Amino acid sequence: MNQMHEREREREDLLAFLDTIARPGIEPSSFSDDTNLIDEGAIDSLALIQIISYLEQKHGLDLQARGVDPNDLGSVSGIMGAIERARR
Amino acid sequence: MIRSISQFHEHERLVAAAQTVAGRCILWAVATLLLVWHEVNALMFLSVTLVMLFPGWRRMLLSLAAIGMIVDVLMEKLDIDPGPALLTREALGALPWMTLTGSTTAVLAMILVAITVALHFEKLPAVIRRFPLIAFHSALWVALLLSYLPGFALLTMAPGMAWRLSYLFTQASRGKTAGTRFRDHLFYMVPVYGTTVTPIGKGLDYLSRHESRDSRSFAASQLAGIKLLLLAVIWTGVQGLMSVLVYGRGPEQLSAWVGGWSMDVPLLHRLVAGNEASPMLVAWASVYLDLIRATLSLAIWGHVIVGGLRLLGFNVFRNTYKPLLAESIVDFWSRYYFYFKELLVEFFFYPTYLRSTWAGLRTRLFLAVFAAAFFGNMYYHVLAHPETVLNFDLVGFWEQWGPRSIYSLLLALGIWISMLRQQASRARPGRTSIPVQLRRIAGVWTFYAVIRIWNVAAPETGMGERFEFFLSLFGI
Repeated sequence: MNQMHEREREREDLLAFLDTIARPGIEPSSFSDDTNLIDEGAIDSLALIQIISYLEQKHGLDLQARGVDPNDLGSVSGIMGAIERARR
Repeated sequence: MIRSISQFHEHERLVAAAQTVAGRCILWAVATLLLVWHEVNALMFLSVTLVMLFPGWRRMLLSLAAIGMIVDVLMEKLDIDPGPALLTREALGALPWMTLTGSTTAVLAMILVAITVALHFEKLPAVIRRFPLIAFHSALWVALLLSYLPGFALLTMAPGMAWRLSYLFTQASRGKTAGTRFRDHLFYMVPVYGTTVTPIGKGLDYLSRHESRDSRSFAASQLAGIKLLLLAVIWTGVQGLMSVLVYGRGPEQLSAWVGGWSMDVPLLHRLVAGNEASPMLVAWASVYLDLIRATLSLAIWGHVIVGGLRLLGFNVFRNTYKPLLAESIVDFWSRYYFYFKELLVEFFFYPTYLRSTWAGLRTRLFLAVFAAAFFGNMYYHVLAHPETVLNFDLVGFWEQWGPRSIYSLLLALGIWISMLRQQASRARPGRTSIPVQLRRIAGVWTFYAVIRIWNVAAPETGMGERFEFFLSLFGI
């Protein structure tokens, strides 16, 4: 129960963060979690570094060491998956 | 109303109509007209027709078209021109026919080897698996050196596929090629929609994500393709008008239509080369207008290729998307030449950023931006024209690439500063007024227009002349 609550809180934090890096007038929360926000034009591929920094600073995730493909961080579910894998 | 017209390809009723037999016939007729207007090769026209008839065989058909493209490219390289005749042994003559079939087989074998190596990535030595791109590009330069040996001249075609193969090796290193076959990769190696060095449409991973899976998405993709081809027609008209009205060049009919009137602004490359002189204000006008001219050319070129890709059922991003409305340097870079920027980001920016965790955020950003916009930018162009490197011609190398190195340096600096500013402004969001927006757009235009002085194609024009022209803009 606690884990689910924690996951939901992380998801909300993430959506709030994505709102700050999305193109003006586009709300990442209006897309489904599996939608690739880069493919939809909501964020630019260069903005991915902001997501990488977010994951490094907030979750201590080293993408290079874990061999994560930056392109997989284009969707909410992709980012949440990376966070969960980092915890294991 | 305007949005409704410009976004016609998103209207559900139109998408539904485009799936009916009559709708598909009309779609095919319009697509054909536009492809003919843009003078697209016959193989592309044939591919669109066949893919519309047999969408389930898309990749197979496009792989066959890729073989056709190899033959086409080789005929040009080998100077074989059969005219309207078929490519038979009788029509071409025994020797040219044997040369063409032998070369085609050799190129296909080369591609087969590269793809097979990538598809068996996990069996490669550990050092190659750790640095797949460095290993691949090292092999590429060895191949280019070998091309000087008699009988190996075909290896000069390798740079044309370098970045498509780079996408394949990157995908393989991330374990994303499982379950794919040779034909899944052949079709984008020598693509019928555009055999450019820059991989428009990137690699299989990206193309697959945008590939039509049903009749609805195929119709929507084709309508989006038609929209781009129509836009290319409009921009071609604007470009023609601009040539006539601004530069006093261009189609004679158009010139007669405007009564021969023109502002007679000199072309930037002629001013930079010192072939023409003009007052300071006219020189500034030429600098700005050349940015518009270059943007139009790139947009037309990219729209035709991406439009073709969409007609084939790959609804990918366009290459150029309203860059002249960008409010920051980094935004312009993303919108101007999308697939070139994506290449630099994928192969230079991300790897550098991810490997430099030891540095602070600003330093990491600096290193990553310079790796992409400076080093990657230079490397891409040198690889496309490697002659001075292969001949160990240092003087020739500096003469050819010196001006571009200044351009790339300024571009990298501009992007870095722009990214830092963008990050700072995100911390204080708010609406910006129209005058502020206009001021930003003007700033972006000025930056890109001025750095073009070191990038504009002006053969035999060195650093000295370019700096001289730059200073003359300020009366120095």
